[in-house]
Amino acid sequence: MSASDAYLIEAVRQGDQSALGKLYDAYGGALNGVILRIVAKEELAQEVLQDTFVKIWRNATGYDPAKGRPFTWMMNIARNAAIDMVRTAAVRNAGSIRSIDKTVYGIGHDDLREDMDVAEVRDVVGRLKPEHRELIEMAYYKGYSQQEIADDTGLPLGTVKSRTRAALLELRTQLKDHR
Amino acid sequence: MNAEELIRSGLLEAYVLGQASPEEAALVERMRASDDPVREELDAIELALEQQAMQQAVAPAPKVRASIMDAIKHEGGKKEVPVIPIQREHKPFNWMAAASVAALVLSAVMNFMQYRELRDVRVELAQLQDDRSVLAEELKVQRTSMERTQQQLAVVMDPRAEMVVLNGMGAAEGHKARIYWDKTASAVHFDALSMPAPPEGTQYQLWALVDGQPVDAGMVSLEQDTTGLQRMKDVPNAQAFAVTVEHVGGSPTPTLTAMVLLGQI
Repeated sequence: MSASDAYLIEAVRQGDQSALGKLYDAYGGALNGVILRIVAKEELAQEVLQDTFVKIWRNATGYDPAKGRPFTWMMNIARNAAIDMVRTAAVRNAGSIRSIDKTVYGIGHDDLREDMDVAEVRDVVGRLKPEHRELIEMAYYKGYSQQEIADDTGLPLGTVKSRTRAALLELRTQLKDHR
Repeated sequence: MNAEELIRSGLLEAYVLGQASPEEAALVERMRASDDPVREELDAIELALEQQAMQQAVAPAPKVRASIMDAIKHEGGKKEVPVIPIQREHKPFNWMAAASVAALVLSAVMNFMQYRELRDVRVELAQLQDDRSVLAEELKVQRTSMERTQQQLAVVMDPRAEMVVLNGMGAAEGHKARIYWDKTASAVHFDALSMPAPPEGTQYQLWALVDGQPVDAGMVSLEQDTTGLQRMKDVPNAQAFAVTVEHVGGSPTPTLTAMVLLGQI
């Protein structure tokens, strides 16, 4: 991701369709990976990915370079769309919160395993310490607030905060080692 | 919170993960704009998640791209024009209202403070006026006293004045009085000195003895100021002065048995 991404988003904002195509070519796969991890089903992931790029197209004005990197902005759109999808699906199918957990923890099971390279599923997050992986899963892939994580895990809120930082520091270290 | 504390707090991670409250997000964004270390840390966190996502990339089915491009083509003309938030139109009014309220509150506070100040000043002024009246009264008393003293001094120091000492006789032995007599002006001033108060219902009366005959020279008053000189009746000529105890108001002729002081010239 470079500064040129900000220009691509600016072009998208001005209605340049080919600019959106370039963003898709560069980051569609990465966003798809995040979405798949959250929704766990290929057909749902396709729907969410399309929804994500339509939202990027419509809301390019909402991107503020002062608030973060372009990819972070796009990834948050993808995450929110995927998490919404999971929650809607869970409510539709079972009407219970437990289903969300099942769906999210369905990663690596059944049909998903057929669609994704096993090596990629066992990604950097998978190599983190269990307590760090759990926090990243809950915060990043399930969209839990820190309070919800604290309630869910029984950890003090302060511990959740410091452990989230530790988890991301470990992730950063892992990425450096495996670059 | 300084940059170092913010970095260590874990709030930057929470912010990137979308867990920060609006207030926390505003803080992070403010610090990101102003502090290089905060910006660098945020970039590192975002980059880590970005790299992690890139490593995990899963190529979507080719039909998704076509589907997206088709969807936005149909949206082409409908691309939303940025809407200026309604709030913005109200903002100046709200600011003005807030400013008015603030000004009103400030004004009320200042009015109250000024009222208190005025009240204090009034109290102080009243006190000062009282003090001034007291001082004026004291000055008047002092001036009167000084004038009297000057008058008495003038009498005493007058080179024409002759001093006659009256000594106690009989029961009044040891008591003294003085007369300053200006023969030229006939003026007589009596100084009671150490005379005791006369018995109840009586008063001292001064007599000038002129050619053997007593002439009334006035009643001696001890009540107000025994140390001062008292102006008596004019006496143009006399060989002696005497003081007798008489009924209040005096007698036409002296009761010689009641003579207490005598001063020969």
